[in-house]
Amino acid sequence: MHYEYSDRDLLESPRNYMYPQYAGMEFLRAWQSNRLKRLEEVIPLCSPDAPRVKVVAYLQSQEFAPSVNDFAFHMRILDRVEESDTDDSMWDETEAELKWTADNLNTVFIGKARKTIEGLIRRFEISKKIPRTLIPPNYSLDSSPLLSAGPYALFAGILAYRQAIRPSIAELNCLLKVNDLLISQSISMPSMRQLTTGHYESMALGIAGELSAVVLLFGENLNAVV
Amino acid sequence: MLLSDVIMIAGDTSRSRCYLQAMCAKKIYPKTVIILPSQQTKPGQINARTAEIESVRCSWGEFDPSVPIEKTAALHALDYVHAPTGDINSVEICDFLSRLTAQVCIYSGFGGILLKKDILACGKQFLHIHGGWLPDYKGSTTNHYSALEAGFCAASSIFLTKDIDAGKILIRKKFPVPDDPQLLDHVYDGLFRTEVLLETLECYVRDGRWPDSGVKNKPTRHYYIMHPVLRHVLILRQRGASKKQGASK
Repeated sequence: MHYEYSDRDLLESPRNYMYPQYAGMEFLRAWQSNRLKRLEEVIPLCSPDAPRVKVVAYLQSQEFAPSVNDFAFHMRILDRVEESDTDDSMWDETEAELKWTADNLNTVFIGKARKTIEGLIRRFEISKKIPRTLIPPNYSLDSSPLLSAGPYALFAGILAYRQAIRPSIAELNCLLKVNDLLISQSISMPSMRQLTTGHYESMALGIAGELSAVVLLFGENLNAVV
Repeated sequence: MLLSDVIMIAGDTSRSRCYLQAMCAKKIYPKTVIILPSQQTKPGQINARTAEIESVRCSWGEFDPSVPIEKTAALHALDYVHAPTGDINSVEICDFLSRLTAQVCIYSGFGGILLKKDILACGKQFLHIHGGWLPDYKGSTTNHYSALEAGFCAASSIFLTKDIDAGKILIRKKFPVPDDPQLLDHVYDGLFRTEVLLETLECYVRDGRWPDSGVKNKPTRHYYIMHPVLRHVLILRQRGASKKQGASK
């Protein structure tokens, strides 16, 4: 069975996800294959010693079925990961904010970072894109949407971290849609140009975190059943 | 009983069909049924495939999702009319409604359409049954979320305001998660909402005024359309739980 939710360019033509067909376990197998395939493509583009990659490797070793505590514990390793390998001076405001937050994940539940991330979750759920500049409280797309995959990769990594520390079905819902968008961009597409290793590492974290969060939500042994 | 001050404006969706069949079963009739036309199948509408859903027995009788609202209206000799356009936010609908004397519209539109300020200011109160427990579960597919997070479904009646799901809560009621949540969209969500609609109307008929739950509809997070992966998790988890319960009996 083919996982259809990332098979068209979702930056170009977003989905509305209304009234999907039910397809049983076959669907969940197709979704897992979809995610694992992208992970295989992305991991070679990451720095093998990067902290995010180590978290992904740990989750892979657990077949994306860690315990709740281990999931949170391993994500906490990323609380403060300063990376300055990129010159982000030319980035749009939103991307720069997301980069800062992704490097300072211990701030995601407090203050400005929390408000920004929660605002971007609402905006993404409504518009399926995030804006270039941050205009609270609605974070509207008036400033035009971001069309490079990089910021969405950072966003996915942040959402995966939040999911591990404070599970939320509403936020997992957003992460699933963000990952659909990312996977709809093939590695060769223009939106994927100029991505840094940091972007790929966040993308991998977003996928691995999503896989683990869904397994934890299902409860008993989704992997065995699938 | 004919409610002289209440009309119904509805797209021909599974939910609207349930509402009207239930009202007729309880002999609570709207003064007029205004049917919003649509040329293509819109969200929430039954298509030929979903029309294979069988009738469901419920507290007020039997819900048959395959019967169009026009047919139900005709069967019970209700006054019904096709709206000039299917767009609830159009000038035509606003003008049409403002010429009617009834003060309250039971609203059951197509999925994903929000009422905008012009129609909300046309002089009518729009009675809406939200498929979720207010104020905690606002937004879309909220019964799917409460089923997954908290093990229950619900419906709440409100009068619509410009803010989503923010009106005064008239009546709210919880329901168990169906054994097969795959039927939530086209069957159970409609049944839950219908139960609360009937209770709300029965209160109005009995007391001569609309009920008030007394619950403050405080601002809370909004939920957005549930991703298919989470829907599948809900359905498979619930089916698994129901099987285990059945086996242990």
